[in-house]
Amino acid sequence: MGSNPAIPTTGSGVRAVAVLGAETAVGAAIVDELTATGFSVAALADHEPMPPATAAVIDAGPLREPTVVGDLVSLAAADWRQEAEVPLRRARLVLQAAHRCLQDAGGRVVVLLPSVVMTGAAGVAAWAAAAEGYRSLTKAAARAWGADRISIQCVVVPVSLCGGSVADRPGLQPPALGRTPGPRADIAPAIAALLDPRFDAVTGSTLAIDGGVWMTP
Amino acid sequence: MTDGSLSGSVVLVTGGGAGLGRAICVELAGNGATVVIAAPGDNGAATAELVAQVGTGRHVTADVTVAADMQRAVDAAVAEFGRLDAIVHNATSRHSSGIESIDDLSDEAWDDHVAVSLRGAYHCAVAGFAALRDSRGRFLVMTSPAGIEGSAGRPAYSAVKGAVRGLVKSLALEWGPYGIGVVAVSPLAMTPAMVDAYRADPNLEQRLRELVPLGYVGDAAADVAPVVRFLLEPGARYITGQTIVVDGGRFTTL
Repeated sequence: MGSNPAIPTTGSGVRAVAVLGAETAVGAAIVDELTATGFSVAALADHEPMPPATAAVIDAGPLREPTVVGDLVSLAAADWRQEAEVPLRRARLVLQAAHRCLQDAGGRVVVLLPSVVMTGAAGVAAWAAAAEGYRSLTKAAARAWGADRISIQCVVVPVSLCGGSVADRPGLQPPALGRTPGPRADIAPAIAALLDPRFDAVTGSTLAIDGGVWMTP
Repeated sequence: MTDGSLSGSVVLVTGGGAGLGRAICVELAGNGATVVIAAPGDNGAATAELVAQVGTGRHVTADVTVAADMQRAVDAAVAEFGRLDAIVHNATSRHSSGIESIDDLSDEAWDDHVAVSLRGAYHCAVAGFAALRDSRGRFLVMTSPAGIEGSAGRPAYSAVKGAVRGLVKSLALEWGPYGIGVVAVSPLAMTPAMVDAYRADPNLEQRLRELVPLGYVGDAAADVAPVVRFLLEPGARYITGQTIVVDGGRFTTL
């Protein structure tokens, strides 16, 4: 992929992107893809500050596997907090940090979410709730920060890419394209494409990269 | 219209002390349901007085953010009336109409939104599951347009109202085998919270009138509560996992 003028450059001309959740399969693939295509990539832990010249923030953190899988009513209160409330609070903190970083020069935020936000899934209701809450919060942020030239998208990927503890909802139609998209072959290049200036007019959207499983009305 | 369509059913309503919750309680009682009004304050008793004019109900002093309170409310319904057919989780944070930016969100407001809307839904589910399984009942959760399309000035409200939609989808899958329907309802209605929102944003009322094809913001009693009633009737038993939008046509994507 060639140079991307939509992503502001640092003084040295390097385009800087912060990636959270880089330890996930999808996050790691995004780091590699963006590095290979000329971005300066900072793979950050959640608590680490974003570098001042960051022009795009990509959050793959919601793709971390849930630590507790089971029916909602069997979840202990502490597990509920861990699966639902902690990640929703994290979403708020990530977006606040992204805004602090991007508000002067503008930029992009891309949030990766598991497909359960679209389909629902038994056994991970709390985790799915947090993910859908994050999606709603990105829309609020997209509306609030558009004037700062900050655009925000959500990208939904198959939940099977989050690890083995969560399965796709049984009985779903197979991917229309005949295969489940892979982190390196399909998802990471699509994320890089979202940083392209040709997406300048897109914000607040949800893009499903699932091979054509769940086709919402 | 009152037709006794809910005769014999017992429904627990959270946040039944005012606004839309009160309208729902009166609508359900007026159509034959026995209504248990879960509200933390005295306004729940005031709703019970209104309910008594059209049907049967009682107030249980209960805070939806407290798990033991919700269990006590469910237990009271079952003990006194013999069953529980539905829970309507309508309670919402007192901060719901407040306008603030994401950057300036206070922990207090965020935590209260999460506690009432989201954790409250969890408390309702845990407390009510056994009784709802026995009755093959319904669990309705009130969401909001902000939880569908986002709201720049109400980000915490947007987050938790979106989160409950996510919860509804997955819980519908978990509870489907037990015959329990789980549905979200997204209303646009004049409520005390909406009055506060008008106060905070003087242009909001005119914008909504222009945006809503039917030309007005819905009335809680006339436009929204009857839909909630329908969703608890036998004829709605095949609806689950959905967000039912009751907004005069404001939102048209789905």
